[in-house]
Amino acid sequence: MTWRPASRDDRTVAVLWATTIVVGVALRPVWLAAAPLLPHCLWHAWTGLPCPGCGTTRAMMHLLRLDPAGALRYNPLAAIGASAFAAAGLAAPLVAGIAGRVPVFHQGPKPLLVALVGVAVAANWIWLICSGV
Amino acid sequence: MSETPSYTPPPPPPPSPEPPAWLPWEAPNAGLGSLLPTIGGFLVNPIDSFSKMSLTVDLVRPIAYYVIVALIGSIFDLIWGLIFFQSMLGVVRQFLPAESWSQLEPILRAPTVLGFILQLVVAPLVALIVVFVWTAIVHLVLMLIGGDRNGFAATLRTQSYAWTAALAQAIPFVGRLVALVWGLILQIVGLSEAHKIEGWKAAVAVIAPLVACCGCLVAAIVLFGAALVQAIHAAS
Repeated sequence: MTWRPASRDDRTVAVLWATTIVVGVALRPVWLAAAPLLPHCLWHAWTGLPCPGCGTTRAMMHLLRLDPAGALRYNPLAAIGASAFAAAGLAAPLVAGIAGRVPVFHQGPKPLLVALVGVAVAANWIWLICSGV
Repeated sequence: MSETPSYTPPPPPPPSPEPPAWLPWEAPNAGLGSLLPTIGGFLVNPIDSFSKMSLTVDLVRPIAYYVIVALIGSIFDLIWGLIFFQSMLGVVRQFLPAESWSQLEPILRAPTVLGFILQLVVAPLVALIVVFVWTAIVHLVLMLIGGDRNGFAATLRTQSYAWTAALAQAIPFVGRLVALVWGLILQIVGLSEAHKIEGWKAAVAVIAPLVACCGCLVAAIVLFGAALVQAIHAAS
């Protein structure tokens, strides 16, 4: 990973990212009201086993109630991913706007990273099955 | 002896003006009037439209297009909800297990005008969150498979224009399903053009997150759409 000067697009993306997080938290009552209306997981209904995304909605609801432990119990990968996304989103305007630099990742396929993500998804799924989410 | 007049060929016709190399929405000084030609372009010839999509024009433009189109789609969705609420409720009741229906029934209320206005205010904000989070997921997969040649902004531009598919919500009952399928196609075509990558990479970036995270939700939408079509056939 290297760093380069932030472009106009980078600054727009950074502001939009932070706005997404702030608006997402501000709309907390909407999410809490809408969550029960979401359909139940058909995969779970058919097989009796959770799918890799099962528990994500409940994890997000716990995060919105500032209960990270509850969120981790329902879907650890989704809880960690969402927390990292939110933290990076709040930091983005500082990095792009004030420091004026943005990270650049090496282009091209990343087999090691693909393997790591695959292992993380599989481990998360095993956790969901074992914990009976 | 009279001279025969020499034949002078007619002047060649003036060259036909070349089609503009940009999207109408991204043309300099483009106004709201450019919205319809842009939508038409993505409807009739999405490959050509995505190939004209600028990667340098101010990012606010595609995002503004997205918000407008998503809002129009929401308005259609809300109108159908107001008109067909009772009949849709009947179909849902027919296909849901009794236990699920008893849980759902108390929270289902007919849409009101106040609710309509509130949703119009909230819809663009929710749309903004949805497009940004979805773009982040798709771009992550693109990075993993080496398809992120033109950066996150190019993916965001593509997603903004691919949301033209939200206009399919103008079709009652099956509009959401049509929007979902059309949207997936537009995203694949757009990512392929924006990042100059093979179609399969674009398809993997769009479909893999759906399968991994939202497989059950997609299956639910598809099954619900199929059930609605079946119910409409049975009623007619």
